[in-house]
Amino acid sequence: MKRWTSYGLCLIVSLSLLAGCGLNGQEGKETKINTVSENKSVKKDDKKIKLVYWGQDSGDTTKKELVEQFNKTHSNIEVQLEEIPWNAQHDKLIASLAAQSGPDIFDGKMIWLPEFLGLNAVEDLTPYLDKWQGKNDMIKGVMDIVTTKDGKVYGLPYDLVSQILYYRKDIFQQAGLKPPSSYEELLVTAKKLTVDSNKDGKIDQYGFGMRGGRFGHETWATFVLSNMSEPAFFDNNNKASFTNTEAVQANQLWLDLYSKHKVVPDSSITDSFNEIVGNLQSGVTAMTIGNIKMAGRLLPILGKDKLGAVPLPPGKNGKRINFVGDWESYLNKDIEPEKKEAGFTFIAWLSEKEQIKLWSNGLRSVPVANSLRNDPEYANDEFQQAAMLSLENAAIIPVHSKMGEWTEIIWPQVTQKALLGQYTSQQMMEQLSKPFQ
Amino acid sequence: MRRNGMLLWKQATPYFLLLPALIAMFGIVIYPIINAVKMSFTDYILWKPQDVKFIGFGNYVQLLQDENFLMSLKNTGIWVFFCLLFQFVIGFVVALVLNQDFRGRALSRTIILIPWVTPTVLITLMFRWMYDGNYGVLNDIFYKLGLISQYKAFLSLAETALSAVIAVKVWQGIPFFAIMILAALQTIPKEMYEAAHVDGASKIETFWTITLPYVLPTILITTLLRTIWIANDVDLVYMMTGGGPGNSSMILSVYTYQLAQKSLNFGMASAAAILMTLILVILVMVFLKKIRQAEGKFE
Repeated sequence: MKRWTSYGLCLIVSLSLLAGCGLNGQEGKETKINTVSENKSVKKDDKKIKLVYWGQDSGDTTKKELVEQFNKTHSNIEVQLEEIPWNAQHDKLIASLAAQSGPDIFDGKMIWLPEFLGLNAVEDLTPYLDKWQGKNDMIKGVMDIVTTKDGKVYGLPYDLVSQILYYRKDIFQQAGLKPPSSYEELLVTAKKLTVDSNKDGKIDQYGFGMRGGRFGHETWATFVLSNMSEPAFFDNNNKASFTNTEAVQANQLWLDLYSKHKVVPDSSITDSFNEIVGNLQSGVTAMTIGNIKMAGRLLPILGKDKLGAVPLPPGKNGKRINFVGDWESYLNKDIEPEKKEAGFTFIAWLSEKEQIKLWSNGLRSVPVANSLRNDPEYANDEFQQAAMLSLENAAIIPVHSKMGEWTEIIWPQVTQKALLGQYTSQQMMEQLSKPFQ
Repeated sequence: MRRNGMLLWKQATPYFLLLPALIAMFGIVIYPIINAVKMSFTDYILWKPQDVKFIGFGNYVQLLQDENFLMSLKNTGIWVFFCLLFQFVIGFVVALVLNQDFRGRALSRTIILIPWVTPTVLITLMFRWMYDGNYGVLNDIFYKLGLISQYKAFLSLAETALSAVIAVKVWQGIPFFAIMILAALQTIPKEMYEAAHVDGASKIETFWTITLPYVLPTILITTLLRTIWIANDVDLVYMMTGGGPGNSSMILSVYTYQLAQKSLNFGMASAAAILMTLILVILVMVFLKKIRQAEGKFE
């Protein structure tokens, strides 16, 4: 009897394991055009279209509030938000889209567009834009950034992260200095502010905060191109021109901040967003080039008495070069037509004035709507003004199939090796240009 | 005939009872390995599924010519060797101490487990702060002791990054060795030590002839398990340094992870994973041979 009970249990367990594998296979087919949400199919019986949205984590409740507001004002659509940390969005998205189990709507960056297109995962929004009234309120420069060379738009921008020059007002005041208005002045000022502030025999305050860790390429590109009279990393034929003499020399200026002038902390080699924020907050660094989101983190702690910002210094060609960070909303191509219409309704709504204002408040981004440029809330804000003035020559890292890997792995590794003295500036630029040849 | 049928059924029973485990094993282990081997011979970029093609040993050749792969291989050797060495030596000493009778022994045995049970994420956060080059507590202590003249960013220097992470891994892994060896020490009959004492054996002779033979099988199997776990560890190195600065603390497991998740090159990642598996299998086979030889010597 016991033996037969054992046989029976083994059979049940084996069958359930096999059944589990089988069910997963079937779900994979059924969910080919559906999402990871529990409510997968379009429920026509209750006339509400359900959409799953993977949005970048706002760090507070803003995104959730936006989605709730949309759901309240659009009774036929229900958006279900899943917030993803910004540094996990890429990995999670690509894996899910490759498995054809991605969300209906998702946040992404232009540098990931080649991967999205390779997976045939994003809807071309160009035909939808003609019907959208909010199109004319988008800043032209911003729309240019998200338009591909063949004139198509795949993502609607709602978040633009401009670089500005942050500085510690109290440290500058104590030293009797003003924020630099050129990159030459930046080096001179940084040297004066690299001191042993508590006279214990070791340097504890550095003039500048450098980001050698992940996503430091935006600041690096801003700095290096600003020190070139003809700022470009790609020529007219879209070939990498990192290794031209002027680019190598400008890059050497960047490397010298660490290796020769020592005006940046030793940890700069691997410092990423949290570290440069922490260093400026604690006074380890007196100034840094960083994006507008830093102000949202620092102001509540330092206040406007201690934290200041000015526009990026003009570059060698007289213009402010600014490599901005971008986030757009994308629509999954592999969903039903009625879901696509509903999805575009949502992402267009997100990029409209009132929603942009709510999103930009808290210094999360620069408002991408024209009608907000002269809004008193932004016109009177030191940080937003610095950010908007720095947008003179805004650009994003070029869209290229290798750019995802370049920003995530190649740039940090190569730059760190150069800062450690393992590569010369020439070798660094050669390594950086290799993936594009 | 009926007897033959019953005999056959009796012989088949163990396999039938193992069936659930075998199915699970096949689904979770065997099938993914077969898939990984297949992928390793293809040019599989995750976001270009339409361009996947067979390239033979192309991925393997590219890996063996890749400076980053070779550096990872070298670093993995250093990582495994030193983690294992210090975990074992310190773990053994701790086990010998905890095997003694002293006040607070029960509490000590509990406290020693803390590094092992603490989540790796928490350990990483803690040690990143401790190692911080601007306001880390370790820098403060070393500076006040006169060991350094200037604060060091341990995790940002090529010469210290890997060592710094090894130190954390050693701290985390000591309890496992300590507890396993302690358990083995507890099985040694007290009469053996009494007899040795009566015979006039010294402490070293007692250790060599009684303690070590008893705990040797436990040491060997624990070392084998830890070798595999340490070699496959991704989270600690990835979270502390990401393999940087440059690739000075890059180990094979992190390199493979980056190839898969960041470069999205599943073909190369699979090839790297297969190579690492082969190295570990060879290591395990050599190790098992040594275990058998050592057991024979002490019998």
